[in-house]
Amino acid sequence: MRKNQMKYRMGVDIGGTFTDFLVLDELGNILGFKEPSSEKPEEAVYKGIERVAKDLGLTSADLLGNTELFLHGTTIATNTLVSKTGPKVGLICTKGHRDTLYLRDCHRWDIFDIKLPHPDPFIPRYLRIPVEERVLYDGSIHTPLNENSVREACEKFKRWGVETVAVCLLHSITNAAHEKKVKQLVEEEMPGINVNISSEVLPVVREWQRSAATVFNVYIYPGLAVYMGNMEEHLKSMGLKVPLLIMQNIGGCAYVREMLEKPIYCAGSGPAAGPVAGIFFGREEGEENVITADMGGTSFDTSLVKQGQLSYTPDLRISNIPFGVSAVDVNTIGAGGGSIAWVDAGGLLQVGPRSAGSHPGPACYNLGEVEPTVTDADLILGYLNPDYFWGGEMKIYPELAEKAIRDKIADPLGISMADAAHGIFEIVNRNMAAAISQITIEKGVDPRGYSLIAGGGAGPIHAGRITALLDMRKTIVPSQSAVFCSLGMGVTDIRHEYVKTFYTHSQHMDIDTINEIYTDLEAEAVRTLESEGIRLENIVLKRSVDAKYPAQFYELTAGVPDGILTKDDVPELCAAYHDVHEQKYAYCLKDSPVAFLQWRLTAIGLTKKYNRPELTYVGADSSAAQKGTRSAYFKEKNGFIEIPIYESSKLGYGIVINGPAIIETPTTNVVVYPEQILRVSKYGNYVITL
Amino acid sequence: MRQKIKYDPTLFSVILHYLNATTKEMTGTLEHSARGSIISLIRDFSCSLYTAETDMLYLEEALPVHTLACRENIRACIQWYKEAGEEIKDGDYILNNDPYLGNTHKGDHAIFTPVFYKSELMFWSMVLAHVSDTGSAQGGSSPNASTIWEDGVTFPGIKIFENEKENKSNIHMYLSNLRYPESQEGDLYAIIGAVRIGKRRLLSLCDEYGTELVRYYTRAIIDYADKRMSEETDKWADGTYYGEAWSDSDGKGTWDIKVCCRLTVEGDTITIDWSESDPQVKGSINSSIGALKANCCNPVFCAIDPSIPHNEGCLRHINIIAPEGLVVHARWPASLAQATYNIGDAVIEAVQKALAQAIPEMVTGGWGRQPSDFYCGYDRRGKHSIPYEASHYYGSPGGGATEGNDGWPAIHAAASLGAMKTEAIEIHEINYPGIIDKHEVLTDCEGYGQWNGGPAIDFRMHLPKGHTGACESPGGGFENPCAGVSGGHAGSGGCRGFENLETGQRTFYRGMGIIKMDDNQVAFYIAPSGGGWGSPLDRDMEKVRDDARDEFISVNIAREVYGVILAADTYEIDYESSRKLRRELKAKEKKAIVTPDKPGVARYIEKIYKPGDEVIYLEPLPKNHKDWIRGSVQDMKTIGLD
Repeated sequence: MRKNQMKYRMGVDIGGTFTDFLVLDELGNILGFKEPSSEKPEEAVYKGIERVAKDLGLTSADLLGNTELFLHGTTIATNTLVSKTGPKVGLICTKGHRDTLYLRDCHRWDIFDIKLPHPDPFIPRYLRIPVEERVLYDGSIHTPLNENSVREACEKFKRWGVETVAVCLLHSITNAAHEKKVKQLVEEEMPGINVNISSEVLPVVREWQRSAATVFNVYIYPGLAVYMGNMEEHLKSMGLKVPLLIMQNIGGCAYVREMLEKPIYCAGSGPAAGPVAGIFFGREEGEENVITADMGGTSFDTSLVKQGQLSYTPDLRISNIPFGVSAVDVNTIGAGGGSIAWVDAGGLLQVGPRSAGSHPGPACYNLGEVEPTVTDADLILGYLNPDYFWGGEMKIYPELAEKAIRDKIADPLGISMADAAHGIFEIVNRNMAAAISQITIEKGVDPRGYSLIAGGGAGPIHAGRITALLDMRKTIVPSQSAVFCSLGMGVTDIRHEYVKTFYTHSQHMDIDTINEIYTDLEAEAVRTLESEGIRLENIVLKRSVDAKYPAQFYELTAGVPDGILTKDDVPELCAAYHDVHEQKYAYCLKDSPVAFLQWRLTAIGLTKKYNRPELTYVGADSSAAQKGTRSAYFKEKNGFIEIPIYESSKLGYGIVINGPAIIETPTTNVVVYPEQILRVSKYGNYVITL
Repeated sequence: MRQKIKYDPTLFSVILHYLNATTKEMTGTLEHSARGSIISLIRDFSCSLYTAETDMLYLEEALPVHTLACRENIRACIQWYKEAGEEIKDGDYILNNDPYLGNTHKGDHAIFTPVFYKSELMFWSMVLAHVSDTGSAQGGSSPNASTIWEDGVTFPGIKIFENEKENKSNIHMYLSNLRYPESQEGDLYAIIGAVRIGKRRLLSLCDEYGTELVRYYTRAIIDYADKRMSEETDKWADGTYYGEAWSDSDGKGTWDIKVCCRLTVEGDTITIDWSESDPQVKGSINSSIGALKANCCNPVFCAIDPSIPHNEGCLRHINIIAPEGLVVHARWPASLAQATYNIGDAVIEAVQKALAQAIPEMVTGGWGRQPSDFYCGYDRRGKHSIPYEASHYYGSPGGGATEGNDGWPAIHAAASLGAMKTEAIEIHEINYPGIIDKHEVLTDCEGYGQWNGGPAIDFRMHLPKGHTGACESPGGGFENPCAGVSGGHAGSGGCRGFENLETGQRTFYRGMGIIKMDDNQVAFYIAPSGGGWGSPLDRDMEKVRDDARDEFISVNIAREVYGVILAADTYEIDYESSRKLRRELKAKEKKAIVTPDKPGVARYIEKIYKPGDEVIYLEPLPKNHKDWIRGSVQDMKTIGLD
């Protein structure tokens, strides 16, 4: 097949340090590429496309013209929220409940820190205006809406220069009449203004989270609309013929049009593609249970994939504000190559969470930073090659790393340079292992049954040690692991979430209403996906419900049978909840009735998949790929020993390498620790076992 | 031959983090698997680890009021077993709720187990949790109890599990004494589960490193805290500092009960002497020694770098002197029902007031006291009438301000420092019949300062037609406001009462007790604001403008208290006139290190008094009550006088 007839999928992920590109062709070949991120994030995208096309021997117009799916992950929504660069929002709320965003759940999480600042309520009090109305828990009207109070609120908004309005009234998910009326009145009073009501943005119970979601939605919208509009137009002018797909925090993607209706699904979406990549590579290596570990320059992102399924958190937070979106559960901590090592007042060695980032970066970059980082420790321990950093494109200085570690760590603690470097290495590994424990052991999952999938620039150096600390089964280092997240985008599906709140009870189930809910939700889902070009046979619908035992306060999500439900399905609905409860909390109450609260629908549009080609078997002998030896530190060996170094481009399917050894790739190094064995799989992934 | 261990800073850090992860895991287990709302939702519990010698090793995810009490609890029980000639064996789980045996108050149930590694005692793993009910006479937190028997049933260090198996007769005895045996059985297992998680993790630590290294490093962790604590306290100026604070009343007619703290800093040691406090009282607010010790540690821990592990190493620097027979350390059989909050909050404030003279930058303004936290009755909204007890913790008071930060709102009480949570109003109204009409910040709610105390909360609720119920008034901080520090103003104090929906007649309640609710009333209370820090005349003018614009304060208060002149509609600052006004006000200002210095100064009822309002006293008044009744309240119709 000629190159300019080849079809492509492209994933682009903008990170703080690098913008990652991933091109997958229909033969299944993968090309990964990193471009330094630019001040205007989209510029790195356009520049990178030119370079990728050049690498493929194509014009960018040819590459884009033959691209069937173009997926993009952006942190613009998150950045708008974190740096507060959105429009001036006015919030309309129920009289008597003006301070929902301020009072939160009344929880101070670090009790003895008296200087802990109270989190910003996001919308100041003078822009949170109560209106006279009250709906009760069952949807009945306790106080009718006073329309004048809405008009007065609008007057205040106009006076304060409010640019967009969010509305969240108590119990609006049970009866949205007041919210709808408020929206209509605001639109009359403030023509042309964007108004969102909570019962449409995120119809879930709990007014704090729902208010935050509604506010975030209107807040992100304008910036996102401009950014995505511009990018779509620009890519079109460069030759892209398909609409742009955007990665969502719920683990699938959506077209720009859909995205702009629910911008909150774009908030915190950055790392969500990692576990999607984890599923893909796990499958290639026959692993359904994997933990992804993406270690970049600043942060470490980890997520659990159980039986090939993504894990979700009900409580995604930005700037410490939960906004009710059940998103892919990615645990992020400040641990990366740039994490700074320091000694605290009591003589305790600490690593992170502060990071030197990419500029000035680690001490060895010679960009002015004098604080020792994880990368400096890795360099001293011999895990990095000073002459082959970023494939030799960047010069680094071991003597600067040594000086920083000596001055800041070794001398103050009175220990040797090697002990100090290894201390930093070991502590950052422990921190990452602890981050994994939080999403496994602390949730009752034993990580020992799982494989670790390592990504990011620094991930493959540390992965083998993390795996050993947690006694996990194996480490998988995917080929192109450095562009891990964009890989996830390259293989993801389209996904939409729907939810309807309706309270009912297993002893007097209102089956008809539930059937009505699902008939409506499913029709809407199919309509949306079909309008996005997904054929009916490629649409997958999954139902679930948030339920609890009547006396409980926290819900768990359980499955719901497909099709028209009857009274006979009630025991099955209850049993599904008992099972989930048993799994999560180690007990259930089989005789107790179950209360059902939020009926959910996940709609997935399966996109075209490209399978990767299998490599030719070359046998186990690794000698041809060895390019030399180097001295590296291993605790088991009591210090530095001479170990073989391999060139990744010369490793073929079947090759076996016994640790200790290091494999050098242009974007990262893979460290094989003593007693570990690395095998190159038929897809070119490195699989490390004991 | 024993080899000398070479100190490895990495391993030290690893083990420290491991202990942290273990207590977090214990906490997660209990929070997510318990059924009682007070555990699962409000998180009124603490998980902790001890060395074989019962030195406190790790306690982070915890309520401050449990800190030292946990250790006292274990030590007292072990002592009892020793004296009785009984043994605590591997696999035994001891249950203790006796406040005369190291515990805080009866409602807190402690369960702990020894951790033996190959028959060598290495650790103790423990959970202390406030349970839904403990079989008290009055229910709730027994506001009008006067003896320990009215506080609830005593479970004095009994074996609830033996050899990792249920002691069925003891569990039967336990559950038979509680009001909600079904859900409390679930909570019992959840607590055992969390204690067991702690045990398992400690055993794997021994597996990995061997007992010798583990002992070495756990000692090193305690020494590390000791060293850092010593460095911190060394910086404090030597001397003796005095602070006093008051509890409103005891439920039996004793008012303005005084606690006195004489705090001596000498080198790196702090001695806190309570000898000058009032004698123990007839009512329910007396403190146990466990709760007293824990509440003493609270403001001290707040004054040190928060990254120091709060373990035995810190405690080595704190001595507490409290003779028996005082309100801070009552003699058996006094009631100790309110030992944790109420008197506990006063204890904390007295220590804060003393510390404010030594290290003002590390002391907060006073923290509020919880005015009310539950109501109960029958839910008649469905076909059946269902009894309920709704613990909600809405309308909780403000936290104290500190140098550089305004106080947090709604922190529940000084004794918890905001470690608890409240549930969404929508969830509350689905579960319980109460309709929450208002849950908002009160404008002009005092606690003014360069940094403001957490605001007072204006809370109103009513029951739907056909419902009646009762609620408790544990009576904290209405009469005695939170202290202001370093020139900051005291908090507001507060009030509680009912308003008749038809006639508008308001009735205020003073003192502690259980009050009946009808469906033609709105129950209201003002939860006190926290104390301010620093002079309000030093607050950033822009912050004062924002406060006024946000209606935390009025334009009047901005001018009179903060010396900032604002345009009434645009809130624009008149900088020049404001600077001049501030100079004038400063010249007249009397800056106190702490305020108030006398009891009963809160005047909130006066502030909102309307003709026709009435006051009901829930407990007897002092003999000279005619002089005692404060301010304009004298004009009010008062009920309950002799």
